[in-house]
Amino acid sequence: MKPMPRGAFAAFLLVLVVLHFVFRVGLGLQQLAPDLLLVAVLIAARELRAGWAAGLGLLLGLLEGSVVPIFFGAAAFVLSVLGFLGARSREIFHGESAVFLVFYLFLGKWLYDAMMYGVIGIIGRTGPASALFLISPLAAAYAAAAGLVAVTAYRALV
Amino acid sequence: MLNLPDAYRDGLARAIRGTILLPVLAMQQATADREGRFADPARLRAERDSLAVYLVGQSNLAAENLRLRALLGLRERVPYSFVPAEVKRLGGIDQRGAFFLTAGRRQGVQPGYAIIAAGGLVGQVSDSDAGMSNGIDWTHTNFRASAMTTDGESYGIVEPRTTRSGEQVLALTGTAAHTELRPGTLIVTSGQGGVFPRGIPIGRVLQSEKDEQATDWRRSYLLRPLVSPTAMDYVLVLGPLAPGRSEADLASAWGIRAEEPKTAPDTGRFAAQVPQQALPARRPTAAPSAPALPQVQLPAQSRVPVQTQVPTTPTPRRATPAPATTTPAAVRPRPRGPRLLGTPVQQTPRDTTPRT
Repeated sequence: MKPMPRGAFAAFLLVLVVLHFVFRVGLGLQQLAPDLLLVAVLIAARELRAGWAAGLGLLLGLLEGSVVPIFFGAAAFVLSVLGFLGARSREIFHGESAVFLVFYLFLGKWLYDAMMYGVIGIIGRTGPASALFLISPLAAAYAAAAGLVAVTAYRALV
Repeated sequence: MLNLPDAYRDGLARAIRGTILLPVLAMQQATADREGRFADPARLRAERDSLAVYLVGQSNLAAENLRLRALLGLRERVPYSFVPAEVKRLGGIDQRGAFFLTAGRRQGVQPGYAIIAAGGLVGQVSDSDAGMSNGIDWTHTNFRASAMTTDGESYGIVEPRTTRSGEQVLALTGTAAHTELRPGTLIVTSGQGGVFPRGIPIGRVLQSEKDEQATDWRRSYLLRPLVSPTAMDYVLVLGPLAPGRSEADLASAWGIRAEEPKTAPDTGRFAAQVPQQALPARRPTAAPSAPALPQVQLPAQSRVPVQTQVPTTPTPRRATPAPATTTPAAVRPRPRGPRLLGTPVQQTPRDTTPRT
């Protein structure tokens, strides 16, 4: 991606985060709304250094975990790792095409679900692993599509 | 972060919810109120009819209970206080079994309170804020409940299970090996541990479970829960007992009947060794209850004499306190006359610690 103006980029991320909580918590849409929090972390990770991206993931993960604090910290941990990996991915993958963005967001969301499943399994939560192969890909495609729309709108405006 | 003590973790989460996420949570409450206003009238009518049937059955039992209490000269038992609430879920792979409740500390909801629905036990309040609460239902891995059969012969711990087909069920673990439960046996909360009140229906036995850790002295069973996760939209949060009142048995609220315990008195034999002919006859029902409600048997739990309940007319206090009785409850003389429905078993001293 080409460098974006810092102020506008921060506002863009803030809008994504606010929309995430408004849709999922405020309006009660649950999984009918895309995971814009993860989209924000993944998009930010392509622009920030690895440490800052991990820190942003930690911060947003704490927000996410505070909503249902049974496994408080799991989302913070996973988003930190994904932020770090997303920032590091610039060294391997270059490009700002729509196809790459969709693939990047899809993979990131699926990895998020897989890592959450693993982390929560470690601390005692069990559940059907089939969700990773049935529900998670759909959620990942949804998040990727939403991220593509958001980035396209942002580029059109800025 | 994952290994933070509960106190710090809950405090941090509560602080975030009370500051940064406060507008979003306020919006959620407003959304819940708006959804309630525009709810499907047909669905509301169906819920109203179900509750009417439930209340009719309960009123018969309550009237019968009052009559028996009047015969015994006992005061009316004050039921548990309760708070109605709606369940709001977030979804997500990390939030299965956890939900919001649209009632919080302002309405009297505290962590640890039991959550019930018309079918039976739903779960437990895990945390509460001013206007909302967090709870877990029986599908959550942290869910545990002390349970028993309605005849009081088998006790165990209920915990969630996921079958190979992905179906969410419950398992009754740690039951004694010398009793075998038949499919369809109703399992209710036992009240032990003080987490859940006694007598809340949980589920029915499906089949025996192959427990890898099973030994020759215990069995495990899979249960079909009585409350489906899809039927947890409107729930009741059970509050504490009124001060000075004894632990109430909630079985009668679900139409579960009481009977004499299936143990041979004064024989020193285990319940499982008692022949069926020795079991006491079922208690005749005084009033017909709603046919849709389950009519199963509960033990009368009459090892504690009814005189331990609060009498109607207060007796004058002595100048010096009476010495503690040296007669164990199990050998105290039994009262004559009919027994109470749903009186809890109090073979051990009452736990006076507050329910948290």
